[in-house]
Amino acid sequence: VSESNGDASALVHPGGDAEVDVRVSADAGQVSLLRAFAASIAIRLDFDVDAIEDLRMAVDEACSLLVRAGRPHGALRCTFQPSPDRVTVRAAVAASSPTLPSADALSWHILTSLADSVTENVEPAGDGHRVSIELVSRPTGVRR
Amino acid sequence: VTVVTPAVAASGPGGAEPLVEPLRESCRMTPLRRPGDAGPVREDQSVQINSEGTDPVVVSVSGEIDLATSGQLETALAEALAVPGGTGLRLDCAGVDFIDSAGLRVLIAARGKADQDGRTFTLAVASDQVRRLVEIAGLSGVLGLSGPGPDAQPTAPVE
Repeated sequence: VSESNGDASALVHPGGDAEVDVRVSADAGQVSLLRAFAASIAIRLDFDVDAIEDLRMAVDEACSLLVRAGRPHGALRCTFQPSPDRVTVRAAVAASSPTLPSADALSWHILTSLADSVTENVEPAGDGHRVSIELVSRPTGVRR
Repeated sequence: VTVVTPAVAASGPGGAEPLVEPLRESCRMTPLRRPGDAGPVREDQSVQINSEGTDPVVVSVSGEIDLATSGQLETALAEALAVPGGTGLRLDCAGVDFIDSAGLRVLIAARGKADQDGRTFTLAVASDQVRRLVEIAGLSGVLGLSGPGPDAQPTAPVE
């Protein structure tokens, strides 16, 4: 996984799946960009309509949680890793406080309802913490 | 983003007098940039809110309600619930393309404020995505969202 100076870089793997690495400022105004990315990627992977919407909503909730946790003027990094039967999204910010995203019960409930699996992590990093969320979504919606 | 609120004449405290200005014509906001204009249309600041009337105050919202824009909805709903002589709030979310937990929190708070003040709160028309989120959150009852949605309207393709 490389990090580019631009907003996004796509790394083509031998298997043909392109990993997309997006780095934006950890700012509320950037979340719409990330969920648009998520929807785009789901469309390319032939997700069904419900699954596209669920991934868009899940990425929004995850990134919003991290924006609120992150340090002002910090970076939010979001990696989309597609594979034939799923997309894995990893997002992380630098935070001052080691608060777990799941402390926000409403957002966490929505997020975990939308994705097939969600994990969170907080670890020391530099003089603060790194807060991250990983979620996995599959091409067919599980709703209804 | 423009938030249009009813220009009801500021009546005296207590709001005892009957409605002086029953209905006001809807004022559609004019986007600062139209699609044809040069330059990119920014994705953030993409919510439009329009309020009219007093019995109840009807607030129509379109666009995307998220962490960046929910504050505008919060302001509009607070103003709608403070309109002198207003009986309540009717929220039309048919044009909402996207809402998340940040927007949901605003709706829950508005519902609570309305209850507290003895005003009504109705989530009158909701798009499929709004319904989906409200149902996941288990708030259909709290927000008065029940019954079938506007069916036969396929979800707009996401670009």
